[in-house]
Amino acid sequence: MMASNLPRRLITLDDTSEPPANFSPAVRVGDHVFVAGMVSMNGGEVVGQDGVVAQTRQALDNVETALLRAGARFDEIVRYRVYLTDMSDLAGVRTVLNARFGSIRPAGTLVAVRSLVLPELKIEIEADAIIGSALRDDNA
Amino acid sequence: MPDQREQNVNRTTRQLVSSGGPFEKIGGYSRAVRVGHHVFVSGSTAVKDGKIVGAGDVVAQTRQALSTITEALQQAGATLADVVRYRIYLTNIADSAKVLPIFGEYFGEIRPAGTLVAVSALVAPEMMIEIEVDAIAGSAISTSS
Repeated sequence: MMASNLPRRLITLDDTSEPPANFSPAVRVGDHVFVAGMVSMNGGEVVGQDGVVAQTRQALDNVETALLRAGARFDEIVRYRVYLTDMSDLAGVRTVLNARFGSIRPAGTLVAVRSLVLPELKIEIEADAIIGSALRDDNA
Repeated sequence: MPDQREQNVNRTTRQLVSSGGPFEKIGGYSRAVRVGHHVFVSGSTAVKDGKIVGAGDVVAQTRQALSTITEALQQAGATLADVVRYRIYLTNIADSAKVLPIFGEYFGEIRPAGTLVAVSALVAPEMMIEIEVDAIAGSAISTSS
């Protein structure tokens, strides 16, 4: 079977950080961008420890940073997955999701899991995007 | 941050599919999104006309979720035979014994990539299963060959 040569770009969240040993914050192949599960960390530290709303915003900001660095935009997300550690956080999380995704309307999945990589983390969010797929195509 | 955006982006149309369910509006998502040949169906549960059906009956819940997914795929111009991946989220892993035969029924000839895990909770306590799928329209195995 012939394989086409479609280059894979590995995306980091900033210019200085070393990529983690075993994954990339995002991978871009063609117009498709795969964003890793993002959590509420900034500069290597957990932020928003006290609130799931703040953690949701930070995780989504990290998703957006990865997308921008891949040459994509937040409104090109076609699917997201939300992993919570406590389903009773749902109402607060939904408020943020609706604010950020209400006009984008990707496919979405939301489940609660037993634990995330650090005990302070309340939410992890991953996303897939296709460049050029935004509903509104201003400043594309 | 350096501007990574290319000057010329290939524009593709985003088609949104809604099932009219109550959670789509407040959660900021669509039942399905189609871009090009790719169809992304949201995590779907046993909700019909805004109400959870099949309480306590994982078989009925599985069939309802798959029915929602089938309808969403059809609205997006795809079929169940175009599914390339499914993910099953159960709240009780023991239910897999009842759920997997239904997947055999629906996907036995289609054989997508599949994942099954148990999670600690779904959005409502009555929900026993959530299913999401990715499809590529036109990718169905030809039955004529």
